[in-house]
Amino acid sequence: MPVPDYENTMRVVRYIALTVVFFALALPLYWFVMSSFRPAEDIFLYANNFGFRTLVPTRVTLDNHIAVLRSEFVTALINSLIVCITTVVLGVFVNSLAGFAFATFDFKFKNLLFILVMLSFMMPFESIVIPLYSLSRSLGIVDTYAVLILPDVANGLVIFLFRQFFSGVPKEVYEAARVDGASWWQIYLRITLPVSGPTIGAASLLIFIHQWDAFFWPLIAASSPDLVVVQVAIARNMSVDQTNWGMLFSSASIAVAVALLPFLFLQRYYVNVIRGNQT
Amino acid sequence: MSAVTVEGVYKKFGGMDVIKNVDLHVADGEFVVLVGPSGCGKSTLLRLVAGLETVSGGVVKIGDRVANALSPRERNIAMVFQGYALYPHMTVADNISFNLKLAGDGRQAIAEKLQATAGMLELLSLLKRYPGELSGGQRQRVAMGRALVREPEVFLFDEPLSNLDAKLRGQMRTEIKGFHQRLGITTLYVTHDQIEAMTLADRVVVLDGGRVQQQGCPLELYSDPKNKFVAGFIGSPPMNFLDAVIVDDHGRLTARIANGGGMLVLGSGRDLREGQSVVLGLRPEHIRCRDELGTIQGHVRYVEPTGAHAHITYEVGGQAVIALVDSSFVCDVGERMSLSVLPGSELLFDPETGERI
Repeated sequence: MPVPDYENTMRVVRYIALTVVFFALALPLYWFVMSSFRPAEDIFLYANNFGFRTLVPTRVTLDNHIAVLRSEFVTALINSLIVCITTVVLGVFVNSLAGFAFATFDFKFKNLLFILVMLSFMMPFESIVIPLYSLSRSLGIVDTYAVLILPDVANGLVIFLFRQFFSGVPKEVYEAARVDGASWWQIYLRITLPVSGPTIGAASLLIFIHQWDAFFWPLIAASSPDLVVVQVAIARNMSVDQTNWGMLFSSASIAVAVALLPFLFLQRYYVNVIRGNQT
Repeated sequence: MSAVTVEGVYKKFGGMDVIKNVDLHVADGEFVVLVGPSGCGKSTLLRLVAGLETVSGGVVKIGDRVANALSPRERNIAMVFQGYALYPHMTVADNISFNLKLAGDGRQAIAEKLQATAGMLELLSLLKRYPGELSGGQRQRVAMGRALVREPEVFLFDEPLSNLDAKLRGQMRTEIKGFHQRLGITTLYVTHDQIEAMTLADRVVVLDGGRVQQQGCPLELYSDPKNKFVAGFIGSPPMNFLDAVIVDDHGRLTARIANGGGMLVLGSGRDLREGQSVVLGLRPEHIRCRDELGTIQGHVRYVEPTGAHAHITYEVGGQAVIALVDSSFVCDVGERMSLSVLPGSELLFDPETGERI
């Protein structure tokens, strides 16, 4: 009788475990996307009695999506895209400069400053909301795009990623550029930034998703309807009295779909950079 | 072209003195090699000349200009690094012409200089390639091209061949020497490889512990070292050192090797006294093996053939002695034999200071 192949058994166990995890993660997503195509009265009709009809709609409608596209959600989408793209551009610039400085220069209190940078991304955002709001009000930027963008430009995690990448560039490359006559600014712009594509990709994705998911800060700092962002617009489908589940699922589906686009382009870099293989 | 002058330069990192009061002059068009073991300060000295480090004291001059406060660019030097330091996202052409673009040269001028330099280094067919697509030797040529294209006053090389295999290293060494003979640019070259130093240099500067131990033409350092460090560093295989005591053997000053290793009659003209402890320095190539008239006794520990020659390691009075012999010399491990030394070739050093006696 052949001895069971241990490696094959483990492979099968691994695939089964991955399949279970996949369904646990994907089913809720599938359910709400699918529910956005159901008439309002069908959404919870089969939810308690789990079966084929829970997962496959018997009636399909685009009413929820049409209603969402006629609502403030379109403004919210545009606002969120403006905020996210601007934050990504400014964030990559500012954080890469900070990472470059931490990796390249020796200056007083460098290690202490870097610890503070690390602490900044470990600190819950809610703990700084009140001083941040006071600061924004004294700067006169409450209820403007600036208040949505500026607090998220500097990002400790992104500084850390850039610093790690720039530290890996051989010191001799910087020195060769200095001997060639490049200023530090030129070294940053013409030598290091062009080779940090994967880190820029990962950083862009981190900043984009962070901003796209922002809810609490936009809710309190930019309450004007003209400045509503995606997450706030989605939440406005829910209230104590009534929740419009169809529009809720529809707007959430659209939000996920838009956020997926940059992820599809940049996830290769993201995975490489996060696991430390930055090529 | 310019001379390079280093006057009383020292460099501290934290509380540690890395370069200690170094004086050095590289004449216009001269090829000077800084050589020494790892950590002796040779690369730091080169970086001080390049402007990549600031001096803690003293003066660095390029030509007549004091360069202490000048940036690397303002010094008009070019440097070739150990790891090549090519820009990975730029093609060979862009790597070579980058410094010309930064200097604001016109397109036509850049193209002409690029063609001339690439032609000289046989890089014309590689101009569109990226560094990642080149072999080690080709990368080294690109690094050379980047240095040559700007027609600098001074060339600085920081162990440029140490990443290459032995064959390529020999080939590139010849090419560097050829370029220097053709262009005559003042060159300061750092290496830990004394063969590289001996073959390339007009003048060799031996550094140890941040100080210049000796400087002179290669053969001068080989035949007339000032101290034990230089004697041991220059020459391959390195000089043998044996503890000995001076005795008077029937009116002739003789070194008696410790632990019964034998005797060696010394050449005349040395200021020695009986009973004085010395370190006897013998070049491996000056030792004659299986010499019936030899007064040094040893037995063979190892035999290492290298092709045309072989290194025989003897044990002489408990101390290892290497002899360089013709590969046709046959002996067995453990065999006892008498050794002699080419008359007058032995050197003596003070055991405490290491200075030559």
